[in-house]
Amino acid sequence: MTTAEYELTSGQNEVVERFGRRARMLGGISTAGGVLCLLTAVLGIRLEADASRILVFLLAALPQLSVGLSFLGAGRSLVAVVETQGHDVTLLMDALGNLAVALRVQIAMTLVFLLLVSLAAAGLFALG
Amino acid sequence: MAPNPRPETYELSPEQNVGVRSIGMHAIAWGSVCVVVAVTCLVFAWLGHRGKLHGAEWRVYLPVVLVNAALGVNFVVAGRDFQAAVHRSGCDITHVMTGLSHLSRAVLVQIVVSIASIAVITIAALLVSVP
Repeated sequence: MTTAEYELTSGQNEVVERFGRRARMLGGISTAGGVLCLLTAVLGIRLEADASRILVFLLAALPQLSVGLSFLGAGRSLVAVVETQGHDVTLLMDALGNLAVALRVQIAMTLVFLLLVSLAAAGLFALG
Repeated sequence: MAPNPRPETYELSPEQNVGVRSIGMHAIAWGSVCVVVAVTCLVFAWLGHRGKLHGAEWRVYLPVVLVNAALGVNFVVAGRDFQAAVHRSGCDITHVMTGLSHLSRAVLVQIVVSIASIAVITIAALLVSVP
């Protein structure tokens, strides 16, 4: 007799599905925000707006898009765990892998943001 | 067909443990970043309240403190649940599910904050544009 891969119970499926829906929603909001920032930057380029403002919108779009797409991927994988029969644990591990990517992007972007703020503060302090 | 293993006895494979350890570490790292931001903003709020921080309204920092504290606690607790699934024998699936519940709560906080931010920005933009 072979050892079967664990099949989630209905209660566990509910937890996974709820989390999947929330991850997809957060991914959707973040991606929409990223697209909006990107469109604003493109509009700024076409209207020959201030280059620093265009750069701010481009810098805001990148993390939002990458975090959003990672959360969308994680949400899709989590919902697949519930909707498919068999390989629940394998699919759950795929979803956790996507979530880890989303968290890594969030951490990296926050550190870059803090570094930029520190540099700007140091620059202002030096000028003042 | 092989029977479904019991949740108390099902052990994750070494490869699956690597994935769970990774998400646990990332959740703890991100939660720690949120806690650091919350503590920093709390210090700024306290300095502002004592009048030692010019040009800043100290109440502005309080929502940031609350949101980051809620995110930080949930992410750190979720990370510890995932680590427990790796380091302890038995109940692996139960620990992973508890970790997912905490992550789910943290994601809900992020959704609420995102929607509230969009609403605040929209209202501010409307107020600025109306003469």
